[in-house]
Amino acid sequence: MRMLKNISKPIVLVAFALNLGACSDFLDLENANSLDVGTTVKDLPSLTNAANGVYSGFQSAGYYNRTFILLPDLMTDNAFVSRQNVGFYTNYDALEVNNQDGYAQGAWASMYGVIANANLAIASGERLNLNPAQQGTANQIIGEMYAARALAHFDLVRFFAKPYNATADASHLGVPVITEPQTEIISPSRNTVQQVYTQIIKDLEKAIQLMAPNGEKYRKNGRFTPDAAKALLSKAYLYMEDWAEAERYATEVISGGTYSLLPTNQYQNSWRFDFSTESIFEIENTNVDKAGVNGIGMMYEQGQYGDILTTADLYNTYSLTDVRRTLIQVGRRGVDNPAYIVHKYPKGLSTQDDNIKVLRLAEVYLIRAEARAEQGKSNLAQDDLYEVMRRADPTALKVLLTGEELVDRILLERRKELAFEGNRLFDLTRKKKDVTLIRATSSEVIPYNDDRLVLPIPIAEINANPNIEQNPGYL
Amino acid sequence: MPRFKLKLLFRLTLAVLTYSCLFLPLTLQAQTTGTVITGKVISAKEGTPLPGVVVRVEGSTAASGTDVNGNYNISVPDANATLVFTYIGYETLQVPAAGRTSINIQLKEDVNQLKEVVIQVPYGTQTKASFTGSAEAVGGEELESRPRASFQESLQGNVAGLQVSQGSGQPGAAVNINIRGLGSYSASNQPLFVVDGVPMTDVAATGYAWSSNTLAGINPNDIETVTVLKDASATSIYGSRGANGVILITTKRGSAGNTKIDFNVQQGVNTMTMFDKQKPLSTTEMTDLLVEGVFNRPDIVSSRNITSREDAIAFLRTQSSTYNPEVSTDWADYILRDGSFSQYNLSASGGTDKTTFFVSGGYYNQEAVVKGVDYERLNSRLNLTHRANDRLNINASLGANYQDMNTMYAQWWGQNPIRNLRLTVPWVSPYNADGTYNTGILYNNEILVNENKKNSKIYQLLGNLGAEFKIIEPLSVESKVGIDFNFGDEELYWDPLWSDAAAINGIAGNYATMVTNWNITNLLKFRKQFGDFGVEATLGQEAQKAVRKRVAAEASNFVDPSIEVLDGASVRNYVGSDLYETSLLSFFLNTSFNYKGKYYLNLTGRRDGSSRFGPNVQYGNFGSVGVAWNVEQEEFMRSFEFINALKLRSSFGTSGNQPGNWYAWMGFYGLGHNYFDQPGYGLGALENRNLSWEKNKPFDVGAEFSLFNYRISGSFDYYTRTTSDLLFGVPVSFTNGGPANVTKNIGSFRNSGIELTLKSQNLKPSEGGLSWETSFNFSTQKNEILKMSQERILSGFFVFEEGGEMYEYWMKGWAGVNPENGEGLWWTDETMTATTTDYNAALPFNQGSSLPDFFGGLTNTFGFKGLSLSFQFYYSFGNKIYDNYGHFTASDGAIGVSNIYGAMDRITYENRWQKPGDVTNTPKVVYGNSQTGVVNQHSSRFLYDGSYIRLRDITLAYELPLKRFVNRAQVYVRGNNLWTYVKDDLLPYDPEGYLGGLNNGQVPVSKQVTVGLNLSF
Repeated sequence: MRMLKNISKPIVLVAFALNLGACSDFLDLENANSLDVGTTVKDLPSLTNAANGVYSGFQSAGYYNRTFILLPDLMTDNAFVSRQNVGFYTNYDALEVNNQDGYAQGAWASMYGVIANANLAIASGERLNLNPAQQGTANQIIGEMYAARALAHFDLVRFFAKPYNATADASHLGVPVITEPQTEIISPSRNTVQQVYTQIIKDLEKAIQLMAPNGEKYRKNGRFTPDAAKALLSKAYLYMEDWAEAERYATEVISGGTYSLLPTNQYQNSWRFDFSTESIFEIENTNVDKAGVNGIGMMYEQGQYGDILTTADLYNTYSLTDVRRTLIQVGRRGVDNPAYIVHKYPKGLSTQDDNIKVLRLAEVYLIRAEARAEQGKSNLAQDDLYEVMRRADPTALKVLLTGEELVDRILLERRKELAFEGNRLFDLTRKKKDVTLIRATSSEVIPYNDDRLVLPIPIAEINANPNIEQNPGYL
Repeated sequence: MPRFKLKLLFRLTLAVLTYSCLFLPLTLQAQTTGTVITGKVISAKEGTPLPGVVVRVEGSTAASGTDVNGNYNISVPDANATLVFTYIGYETLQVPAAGRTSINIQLKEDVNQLKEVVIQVPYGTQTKASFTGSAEAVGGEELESRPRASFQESLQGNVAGLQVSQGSGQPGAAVNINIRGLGSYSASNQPLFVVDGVPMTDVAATGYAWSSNTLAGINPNDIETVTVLKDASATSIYGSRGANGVILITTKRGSAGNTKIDFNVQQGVNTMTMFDKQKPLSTTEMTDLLVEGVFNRPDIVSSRNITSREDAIAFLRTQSSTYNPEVSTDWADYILRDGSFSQYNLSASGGTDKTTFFVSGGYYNQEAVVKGVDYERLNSRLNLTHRANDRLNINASLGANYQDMNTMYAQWWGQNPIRNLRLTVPWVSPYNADGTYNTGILYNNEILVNENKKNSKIYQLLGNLGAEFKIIEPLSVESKVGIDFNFGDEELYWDPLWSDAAAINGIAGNYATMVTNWNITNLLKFRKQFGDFGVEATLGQEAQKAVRKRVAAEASNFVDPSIEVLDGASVRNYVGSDLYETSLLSFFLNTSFNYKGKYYLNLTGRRDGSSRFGPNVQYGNFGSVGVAWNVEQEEFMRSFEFINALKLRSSFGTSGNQPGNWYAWMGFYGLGHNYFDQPGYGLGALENRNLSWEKNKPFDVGAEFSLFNYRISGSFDYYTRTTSDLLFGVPVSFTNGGPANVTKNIGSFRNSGIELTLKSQNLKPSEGGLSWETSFNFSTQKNEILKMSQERILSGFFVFEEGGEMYEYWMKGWAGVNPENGEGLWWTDETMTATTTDYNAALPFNQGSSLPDFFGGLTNTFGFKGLSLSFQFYYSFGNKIYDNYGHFTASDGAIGVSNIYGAMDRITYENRWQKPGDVTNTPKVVYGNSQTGVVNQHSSRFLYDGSYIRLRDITLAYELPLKRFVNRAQVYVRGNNLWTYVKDDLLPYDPEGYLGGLNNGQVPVSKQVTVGLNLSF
């Protein structure tokens, strides 16, 4: 009898179907789970949503939430895959990566996802007609998008190309630079590294110009600020070995006075908290929106996967009074005994929503120290280095080295301060230092210019894009 | 649990009985008065008793039927009544009783009626002689009482040109059916299923289940016939849904006469096939390999001063805290089992001249061979037909059913028991000494089976209501409204003991998925004979709309492990819903002309509009031309008396295919790209406004024949089917920012082949003698890519190139093992002239096809008195299958003892290279191997010949000579997949366990032995 009740629906359908005029209505169904790319961004709130989509791309486990933060430490002397493992990233530990590697593809796809969405947001944001009050906010968002695009290009070129200084004029293979919103299918070829960096600089300058000068509320929302763009700019110049510009932008961030290094006694615990006073740019994870079991914390914290351990080599660089030593616990993992266990992403054991700290003031000090040391400003460089050293270890003595030795000492401090934050590999290769690849039971010295220290262009890209060229050493 | 099932069964029985009681008074009245006439009905020719002959009293509703021995008894109102005996395939006989109380009857075969076999065709029925298309019917007897959840699985081997692949032993899983090869790459390759005139949709009502099948909700025992439509003439009328063939399912209906009650019960057991090749290695066996692996490492041997097995074991112990030669766990004992199987069905049918009915209820229960995987189904059905008056017929069907399945994860995840079976080392034990779970095993399968849950329930209502009205000769109208309503209720639960849920203290998810599929059909039919010319026409209009809505929620941090409802969790991880819709609007005309019943011409046309295409290309036109010539009716055939029927037919036409993705043409922002708990969107799909119909052009020429007084009959067909404007997810550069591919129409390919079907009655039973029937079918299949928009498309393990077949494997070529030193070798390139020991130095190339060259079935049935023996072989030859997880299981020592997921397989144990001169395909085991056995070393090493022959079905049945109480009682023993021949000795897994040529880590295929009882009253 229930059927009788429902019969009204088919009758409507019959009437619908018989009425030829209504045909198109019957067939024109909206996709209820999506929005139109061309028309959705029409005001400030919708532009904000588009920007959220861009930031969301950074959260991918293939990008900042795991792979991109992990590999630069794993492929060096900072970390290795425990003998008791579930198989994550073992090919990077062994440095036996081929073009079918899913991690490389995940990173490549996520990074270009960020760029494509940023391009769409920039293009649609710049089309909006807004009143002056709204225009200011829109400019902030558009500026953030330029910065996001720059960061993704910077990460791509660091992962998938040799360092800037690999050739004299950086004319070697970079990555495709994409700055236009997607309207038709493209198959771009690779730009030179020099062209990629030029675009990064240009985007960051544009970002600084567009964003609101006081970015505190944006910073605490996990968004770019002019200071974040400047810090990134100084880092990009550092990679380009434009020491003066690197120093200039680092100084702007430091002397702006917005940030301060955390006191020593707060340092260890600060890794549990978001947006501390020395954090310039973080990728936010919330309890609802996070990588969860695919996050970086699951890789380092024990009790879950915990496949990745750090090395005795790194542990022994810390003095007994160095607070950073407390982030490494000496324990046991299967036959790896002792095992050096990393606690820089401590929420891996609980809520699995550690924020990813992309740029910190401590790094900016070290960038400036390096830039100054390279320019022969040894005293100033020693000062900057000492800021970071004594915060970590109040008993530390000021380093009085100069020249090459000072640069090397700064590099060591980068290793100690920025361990497990995704820098080590790039710091070694850009400084033309051979890489000591430490594994569970062996180690190997890899020449700094070894092809295997650059990731392969994924096979799926090679197959789909006839114009792309593979990195040397890969098929 | 058993108690619960019994209760259900009881309720079901009660429901069926209640239904039947409603109708019993209509049928029993004849037996209340007058004289009783008894007798026996036999075949005039063979003298064998004819069971199931309908005996009626002319001019009254009284009716009866013969039992298994041909005996009947019927009450007649007066001694001079006339009895009417009707039996399909025999001439109807009218016999005046003339006062007799015992009348024995001989019925003659009706030669004309054999010709007049009526078959199900689109939007109606037709005589087989008048049908210009290629159609094959499978009767209910081939489907019922099989230990298979769905009728689709039983089509394997019974229909030429039809291939079934399930790739899984999960009961109730979706079944892939291909008719005449693959019709598409990215769009569906599945035929359209039409149940009692209602087209089904292609969308699943589940999300957590790896696979489910709403058609498995239909009880195979309720099916009268399944008709497989293969060529243009048969399928073009279904337009955009007809490209891959059409399968019409007709459920049973009652016929006037005594109420017939059928009851059957079946019980059995499932065990895994080909287990010997997969039996996990014991610790001793693993140690043999590892010790050998250590000795194959001169550097370790010298640095550690290893001289004996004991030394090597001592070394192994230093390399792993878990390695322990004293512990040996047989994971097969924990993970696999012999699953039980049972089904019960009860049905009643009958009726009067005005109203007939069929009601049924059924219960089906099957445990898979993997612990924790099982399936249960309950169904009921009511089919009614009512003749209101001479002009109006009303019919209605309602099937209500319920499927309940516990499934497992597929693919290579820790949640997949099959992965755990194949990879977990034997030296760890699932339990600690105190009986608690060993949580040192990251994915402890015992926790998975005992504590976690992955349950899917599907509730289905499948109904239709139709009416046929004769307006005025020769015009009539028919309307039908059908609904297919599915509700999927699913639950996923991970206990806090499970490693992935430990940190979050348990997590559970719920899916509620609603799939509704409405369909309306209106037909105007015309049928008239103009002298020698006959004309038939059907003008039709059809509208269909399907909607899928899902609500999903996930929460974690449970108050207690015994609580699984989300209210018991403190953290809401995810709440979401989505909604998908698709619609189709169609008009069609089917016309058929014949001259003297000898020559037939059939023309069809259809115009379909689909919501799945952009406004510019929303409509597509389809049509077909078919001709048939019934040669045996010609004068010149009179001299060939042995030819009873010979029909030549041919057809050509077009049909179409829609993309499986309902919004394939659209580019859009996808939702859920949120940040800091603020909403966001990101590029979800790239647009292609020009996306249009995939076109399918089938051509068929064939012959159907019956010879030697219908003792041999069969058909032969040659077909081609060309697919153009192929829908293809073309990979695009990631720099476009969206998903990795865009749906485009790119090129064309062709399937061609021959099909031969033969049925013969080798021995006819003279009274009580031996009978023997054979049916055989053979199909070839050739696929060729004709045109591509780019030179070569690589997709996963496959390559698509002009001139090649679809789904040819693309990977590095394994050149075997160097007999001198046991190292693995790969061909450097496709010339296969030089080998390399460096995997990275080898280039991939084409490794051959994943599609079989030919396949078919052979069934023999013997009968002797009440005993019958039937067995069916299925064979398939010429395809390759790839074990895409072979690179994990054939690790050749690469993993050493470091990882508890480092078990090596039995193939390695039995075939490895051990000493110079050994000729084998399996390299030496090397501890910490980096030459072979490394993850991602995909190559043709794991590519196997997939050819096999299988004893798919063997049944021994006996008709019990019971005369009282029952009309028929049969007991039987049935075995499935009891014997299999595989061509490739190294093939590790059942050849039917591969889906699309790849291993998906699914529930292994099983063999069954069942016993059953069928009773008819």
